Amino acid sequence: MIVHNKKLYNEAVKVSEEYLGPAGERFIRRQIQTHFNIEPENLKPQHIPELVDWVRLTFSMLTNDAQHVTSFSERLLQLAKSQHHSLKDNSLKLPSHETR
Amino acid sequence: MKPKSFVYVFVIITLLYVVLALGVPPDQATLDKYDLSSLQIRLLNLTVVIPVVLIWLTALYGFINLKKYALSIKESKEGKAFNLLSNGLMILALSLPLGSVISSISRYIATNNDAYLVSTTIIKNYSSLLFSLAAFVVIAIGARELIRTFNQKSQSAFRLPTSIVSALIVLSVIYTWLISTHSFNQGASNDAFYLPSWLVIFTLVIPYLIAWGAGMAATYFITVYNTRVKGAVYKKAFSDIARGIGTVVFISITLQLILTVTSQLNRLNLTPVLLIVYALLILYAIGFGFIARGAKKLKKIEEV
Repeated sequence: MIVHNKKLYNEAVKVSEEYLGPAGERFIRRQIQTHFNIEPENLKPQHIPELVDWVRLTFSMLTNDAQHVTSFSERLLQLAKSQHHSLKDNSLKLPSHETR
Repeated sequence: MKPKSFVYVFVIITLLYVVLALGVPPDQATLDKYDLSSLQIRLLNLTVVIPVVLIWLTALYGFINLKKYALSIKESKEGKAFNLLSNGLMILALSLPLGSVISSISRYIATNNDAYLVSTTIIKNYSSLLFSLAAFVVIAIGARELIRTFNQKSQSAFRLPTSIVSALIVLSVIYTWLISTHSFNQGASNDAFYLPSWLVIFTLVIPYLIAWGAGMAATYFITVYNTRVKGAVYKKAFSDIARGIGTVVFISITLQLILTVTSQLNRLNLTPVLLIVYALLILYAIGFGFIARGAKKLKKIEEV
């Protein structure tokens, strides 16, 4: 689970860097630490919807481009969905000796 | 130097310049040349002093904002680079009032005592060179550090393109020609250097060309960083800084080239001389304005 969370955090950083470059990681870390009071690497899929709300609010202070704000938010939401699917797929892949 | 201390030093030097510019009595040669009274010259000085001081304050504003941003990211990968860039701009900004104070004091001393004309001219020339060299070299090192943040293993990113090398060669030829054809009237009161030509070439011309080369390299590295850096919003903010530094470097080089032909400028009427000075200083202010705007945008990213 920790590996999945760190992966989620890393993916969130990658998305943030698409818009904020070298400042991207610092931005996303600050949002996670300030609003969830957790270590950023412990970011979970259930945090994403609220994170997106905060990102939408703060990122819109940095740019007038509404398209950027929307696409940043949507890409973060997409991360949570792909994490959910990934976790679901892993839980369905049972070892061969187990039965349902 | 902390930003606050720098502001105090800057303001004190600026006030000193204002006192010198308005308080020191004008020399008779200037009064005769332009057919003006002492009061008229002082009022004319005021029309130069006020906008000049405003432009210097814009330079101070630009530096302060970039320094604040550099301090806010000092632990980051690009913190060292921005710190160096801001230190270089600090030297450039400080050179404006400090250079003018040195120039005013030199002119006053030389006007009242011919014996000091040579030494004050030499001090003025070398202090101007030191400021340019220090500022441009530090800015160039900072700009190179920015490129390093890309973890660039190959040396190709640090190689200057042919266009810049060619421009520097052309500039070197023009500057050397201007120096050699206009400035060597040794012993004459309008000699720009009061030094033998070989000493001027090796201790002034070559170092100036190194300084300008560093300035051009800095502009190139910053442009490369701006092109390669990710992040649409970050890039937009940084492009103001890139534009600002490029403008400031270009104007500094142009000003120095023009100062080389001061003997030619002295033959012009007053109006074109003032127009040239005003135009260059306004562009300087615009450059520092861009730097301030870009730095404020980048700082905002670190604050929200």
